[in-house]
Amino acid sequence: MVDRFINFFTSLRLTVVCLALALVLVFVGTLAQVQIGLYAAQSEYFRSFFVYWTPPGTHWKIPFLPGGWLIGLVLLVNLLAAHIKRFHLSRKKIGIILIHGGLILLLGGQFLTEIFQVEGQMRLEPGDVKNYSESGRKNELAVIDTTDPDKDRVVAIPESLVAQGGEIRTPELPFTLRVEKYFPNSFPTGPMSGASEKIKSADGLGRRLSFSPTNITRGMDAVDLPSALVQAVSDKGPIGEWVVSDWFTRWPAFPQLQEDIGGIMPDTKVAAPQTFTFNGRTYEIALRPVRYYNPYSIKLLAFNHDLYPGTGVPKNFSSKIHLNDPATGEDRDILIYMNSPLRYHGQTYYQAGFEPGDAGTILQVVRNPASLAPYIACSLVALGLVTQFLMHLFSFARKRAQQTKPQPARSKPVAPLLEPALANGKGRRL
Amino acid sequence: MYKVQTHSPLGGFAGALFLAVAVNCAADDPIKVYTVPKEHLAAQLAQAQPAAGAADIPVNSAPIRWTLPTGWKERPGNGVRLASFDLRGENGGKADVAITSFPGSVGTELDNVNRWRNELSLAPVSLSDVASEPVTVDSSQGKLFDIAGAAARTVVAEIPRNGSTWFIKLRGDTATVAAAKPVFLDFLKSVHFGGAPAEADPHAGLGLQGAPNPHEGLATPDASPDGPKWNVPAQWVETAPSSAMVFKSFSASGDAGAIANITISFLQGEGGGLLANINRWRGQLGQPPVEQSQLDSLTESLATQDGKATLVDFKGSDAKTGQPARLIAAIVPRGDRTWFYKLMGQGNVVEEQKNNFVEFVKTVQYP
Repeated sequence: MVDRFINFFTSLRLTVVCLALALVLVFVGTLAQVQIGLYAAQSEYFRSFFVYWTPPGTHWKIPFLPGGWLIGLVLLVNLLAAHIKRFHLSRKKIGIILIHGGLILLLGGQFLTEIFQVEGQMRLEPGDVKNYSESGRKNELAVIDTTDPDKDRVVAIPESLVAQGGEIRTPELPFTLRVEKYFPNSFPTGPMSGASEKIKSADGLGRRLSFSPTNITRGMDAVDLPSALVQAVSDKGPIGEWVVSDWFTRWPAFPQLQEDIGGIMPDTKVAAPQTFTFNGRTYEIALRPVRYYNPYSIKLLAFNHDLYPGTGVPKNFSSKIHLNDPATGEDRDILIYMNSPLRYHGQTYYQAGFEPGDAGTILQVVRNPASLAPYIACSLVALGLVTQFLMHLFSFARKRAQQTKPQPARSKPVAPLLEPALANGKGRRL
Repeated sequence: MYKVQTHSPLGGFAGALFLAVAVNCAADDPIKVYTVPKEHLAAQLAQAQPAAGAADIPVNSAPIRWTLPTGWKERPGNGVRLASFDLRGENGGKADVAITSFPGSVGTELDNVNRWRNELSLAPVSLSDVASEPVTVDSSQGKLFDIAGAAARTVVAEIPRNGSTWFIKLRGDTATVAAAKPVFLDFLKSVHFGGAPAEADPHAGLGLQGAPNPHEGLATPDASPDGPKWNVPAQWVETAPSSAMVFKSFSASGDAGAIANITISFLQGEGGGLLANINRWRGQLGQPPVEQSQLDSLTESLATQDGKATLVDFKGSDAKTGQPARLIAAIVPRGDRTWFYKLMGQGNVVEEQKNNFVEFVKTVQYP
């Protein structure tokens, strides 16, 4: 049994099957971009263990093809297993081992990056202080208990649960949420619009602003703005219902919506929280970009958009920020500019953009626990190459020295610089 | 020869399925619970909640036609914007053109100018500092405002027309707007409001991202070649519609200068439904909304020449003036449209005109 297991994972056949499946995956995933767009295709086909098919009218997820991660993982295991089984440690092979070790670290590191990297954005206007960044695409239904004067208790429900519709019960909330309607992408419609399908609610902003569904976005630079009609129900009956929407929470959608309705609904503030009370406690409900909180805060002191003198050509974008971390006592000003990010607490803050009219800055915030892997991997590969080269150079030099001696000797052909990476036809070595 | 190992296909399949299910179960993010300190930041926008029972206001409006300038990229409207265009300038500069239309005058000129100045991070000005130049769009006189900020600039044409106000706004970075302004002024000349658009017009029936435009053919009161036929009572005087939503409007006078207004409008489909419209009217009289279950007791059926209509009669005080008022309205579904007739004004005039109004609604002949 164990032998069969080992043979399976060390077989060249597995390598070929994985490469063939990768070909099919790339083909199918590329075609899928036409229907579901680039970002969704990447997520569903390449950044996944399995590609699922959902029969119409159901919530089933039936796997029909291995995803990019599974193929990559099996290939990595295949490479490692073959290495362990067929490779024998010897001083002469030290360069090859270093090179292969570097390659394995590069593959493994990329795999960890794919799984654990978290990317968000922090948008700040001068004077703003924030201790969180927001996801560029992911959303959550946040129900926030704001009763406590000092802190908020947040129950963040992932959008995938909201998308399933129906009831959401969690012991973290004293009531049940009922998702009456969910649109993965939506646009605002007026109260008198004749759109065939739209949601409006009895409470909150949805009394005046309603939303209709629209197609999901196709491009990398456009994001979906979902909306949902959510009802809160206790065992004594309904508490209320609200339209929740990314149109109220995601920048730049909400200032644009505010500007557009500003003239006709001057008392409607789309970014205002939608609140309700239940059993003497006050709650806010919002569909918003997923938030990643930090134990430290960042304040924007100034944003600069420098131009080359006498032209409109940008010369430099920079954000002067103040970092405050009560846990470590870190309390200092930092200048973030192009190609000079701030690295702090496992996160990297890049200067990514700015608001129209230079009203504020947009920092890209990346947390990648495997960020050092490519550097170490490249160093290992370089070290292995140099070692291998020097070993062959010394060997060559030694043989040349022997050739210069009076005794004639037949020299062997020079060994190749690099060992072949794949099996030599007999399955003996990698 | 490389030896191929054979494996139990069932075992492999079972293993793969187990992994698939395990991964699938782990794939959904869990519900997260955490406590964060209060956000003591000023919210991006003010915190006021919408007022209860405020009148519904239509946020889209009549058809409009234009000639698209070269280099402008049209984006779909969003329910508030009738149309948007993207402009690219030199060195990556950007600008945006938006067309919106709202009923009424939409605040004062000073309010609007200061709102646009605020968008450019400029301090508010007083009325004496507001500068504008006249502009003509499709024979309607309007004003053109040009406001320059530190890095951005806004050029807006404000055109009052038939009780509505149209805004055609160019906004972007200074250099792009400066370069685009002549094209924008030409664009304004190409704009035509209302009427049934020409068949060849690519923007005919422009609506909300593919949604049917409920106000198609509703631009001006006289744009009704296929409109219904009716006999207007002698006491009624036709007036200019107060908004682009209104198809026809009349007024009737009573004693001591008291006036009642009669408005007629229509929408595609159910026009929002009976309950929504009744609550909208109740809101106009400062009355609380009602539930679906109360509709039967608040409405009466009215037999018209070719079908039934629903009649309501409410009393309260005009939400705009605070004066006592009465509202009688009829909802008449005909074909793919729903017609709305409303008589509203001071109690005694409405009482005097009630019979005229009911008779009028009963005798309308629809195309």
